[in-house]
Formats: sequence, C-alpha cells, structure tokens
Amino acid sequence: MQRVADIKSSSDRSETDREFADLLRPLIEPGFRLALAMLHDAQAAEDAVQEASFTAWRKIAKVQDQGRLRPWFLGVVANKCRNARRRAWTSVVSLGVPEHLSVVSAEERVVRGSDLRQAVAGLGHDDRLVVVLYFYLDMPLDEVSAIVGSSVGATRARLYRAIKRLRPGVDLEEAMR
Amino acid sequence: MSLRRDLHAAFDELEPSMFGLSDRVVDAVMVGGRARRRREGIVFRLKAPLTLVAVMMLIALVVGALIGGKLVQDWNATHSTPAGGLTRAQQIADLEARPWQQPLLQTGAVCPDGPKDSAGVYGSGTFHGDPRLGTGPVQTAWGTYFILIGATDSTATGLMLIRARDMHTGASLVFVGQYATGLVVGTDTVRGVAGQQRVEILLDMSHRPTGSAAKGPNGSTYWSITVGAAKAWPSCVAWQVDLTGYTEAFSFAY
Repeated sequence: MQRVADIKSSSDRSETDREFADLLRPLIEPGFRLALAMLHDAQAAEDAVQEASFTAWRKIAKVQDQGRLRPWFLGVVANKCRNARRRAWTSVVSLGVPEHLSVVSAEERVVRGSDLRQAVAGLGHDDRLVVVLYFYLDMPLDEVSAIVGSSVGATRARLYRAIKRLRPGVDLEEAMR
Repeated sequence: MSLRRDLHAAFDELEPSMFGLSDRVVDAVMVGGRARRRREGIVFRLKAPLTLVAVMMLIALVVGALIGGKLVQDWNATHSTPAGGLTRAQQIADLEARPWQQPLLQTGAVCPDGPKDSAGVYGSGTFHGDPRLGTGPVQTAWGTYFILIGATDSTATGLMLIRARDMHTGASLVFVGQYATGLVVGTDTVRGVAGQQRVEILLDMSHRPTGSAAKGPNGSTYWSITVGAAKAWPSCVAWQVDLTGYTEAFSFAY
C-alpha cells in the first residue's frame, strides 16, 4: 500500500509535484461532476473543485492510504460546495416531478430535468450529497458513506428519505437500482 | 424511467465540456499553490499574535469595566446627591452635627427608660429598638458588648445615624461591624471577629439588608448592631437616632 504521505517526504520538489498531479488528475472529473450536481452552476463547480484541489495540495499528507484518496477528495469538494452555497444562497422552489410522463418530447425532457434538478436542490446538503454520489456519480453505498462520514446504514436511511422526497410513493428498492 | 437515469439526464444537460479541465485545475494548483501557501503562512503567523492581542484587549476591557464600575460605584456612594441636593458625605456631616439631646442623669436620678410603644418597643419614629431581640452580653478584655436588633419602618428613607452614650458619664458607646462609622476609637475582637470600634452607626435605607432574617413585619427591616461599652455595661444608655429632618431619642435601663 502506497502511503500518500510519502510524496511529501521527497526532497525533489518537482518530483513531488508530479506525483501529486498524477494523484489529483483522475479526481478532478468526478469532483467537478459532484460540484456541478450540488451547485447547478458550471463556473461555481469549477471554483469549488479548484479550492478543493488547493486544500488537497496542502493536506494530502494526512491521507495515509491511497485507496481512501478519492472519497477524501470528494468529501473536500462537498464541503467546498456547502460553503459556496452558504456564500451565495439562492432560493429554490421544489416543483416536484411529473409522474405521468412516459413518452417525453425533447422540450418535455428539458422541463422534466429542470424540475428534478430543482427538487434535488431543495434537499438539505447531506441528503443532496448522498443522492448525487449514489445516483449521479454511481458510487457504491460504502464509498458514499465514507464521503458523508456516517455508517452505511445511516447513509442508506438518508438516501431512502431523500428518494421519498423526490419521488413520493415510489418503490424504494426499484428506485435504488 | 428510473431515478438514476432521470438524474443522469437532468445533470448531463448542465454538464459542459470537461476537455482540459483536469490540466487547468492541476496547473493552477501547481502554480498558485506555493504562493497561496506562503500567503496563508503569513496570515497564520499574523493571526497568532493578533489573537493574542485580541485576548489581551478583551482582558483589558473586562478589567477596565470592573475597575470603572467600582470607581463609579464609589463615586456615587460618596458624591451622589439623592436628597436635598446634598452629597452623601454632606448628609452624614449634617447628621453628625445634630446636637445631643439627652442630658446626663443627676446623681441618684432614675433612668428614664423609654419612651416605648404599646408593644414595649423603644422608639417613637421610624427606628425601633427591642432589647428582647438582642443577644449578649459578650465579654472581652476591653469591655462588654450586646448584639442588638434594630428595626426600621418601610417608610424610612435616606441615611440614619445612630449614637449611644452612658447617661451617667456621657461616655460614647462603641459600635463594631459593617454599619459602624465615624471616629475610630480603638479595635477589639468580638466573637472571633476583629474590627474597629467607632462611635456611630450609619444605616442606609436605600441599601437595606436582604435575606429572610432581615425581613420584619409590614415591610420593616431588621439590622444587627453590635454595641459595646468599656468595662461593665452601663445601667442607663441614651440613644439618639438622626435622619434628614428628624431626630428621635430614647434610653434603655439595664
């Protein structure tokens, strides 16, 4: 197991930077997608990822296990998103999601997507985070729970509650697929 | 459609091209990271002394407020002008200047015990003395003390100055304890408490003692007064109570 902290002990600065860049690069895209789904704003999402990357650059030595780097980094991104929303809070109205649409036109799909995004935006930060990580970033529950910082059971319960708010009356097991 | 597919569709609509995003972010971190770290280091190094300065300022503020409050309290205690435009010191001086009203007893004369009210309590004004509520005598090497209980009516206001004298010799009795005031004539230890002997007591009606032991009937207040006489307790003691615009006198026979 490679210790991430080891890269900080290198005396060769450029080598250290290259190693850090190699670790960070594959995390940028999932970080950006997470931030985008949390903030609904591409520029704000890129800023959040940028800030998270600076934080990672400073604190990466604290991550002892390379296998935990991805959930740790996404957790940092989630925190940056929380801070970004606190700074520039925009009111969100949950319009619900039309249930009756089975065949949708392109225009209807846009409307439906907008409604769903607004419904997700209406969730609390932690609920929104588990929904985005699980459904949009397709992460397994144990990794989601590691990012959120709670147990798998608690994360599952949180996810169920969020699903019920997004899709009242939906079968939970079906929705989890 | 499943929720997963719906969410993908909803957020994919927002997703711009991520071409070059990773390189952009990584380059920015590499270039700006060190400068930012140096800046944050400076800010951190500044923050520590600033925090120390803030803490010291807070302490100074609290100490200043306490000292200032005490000074204001002391100033008000000695310079406030609650009655008749006189300061507290002027009021006390005015009360101390009142002439003593009870003449010495002639040899062989009977002590004029009283006046008392119908309940057998001394005093005809807003101050009442009831020796039955007192304790003593307490003997010391210097003399004899009694701890008496005086009562003031709820209607009494301002400052009340009380003096006591031996009606045979004219010698002032002494007071010790928190209400003792005026000229210091000595020190003594009464019931294990050392204190100065003074010739007057001053009761401030605006600072009445609190607590259940101090609450008398009809809103009156009990004051614990320790009074002493050199050697043996006199057989006849005259008391004079002076308030603003009012004086009352009575005597105890022992």
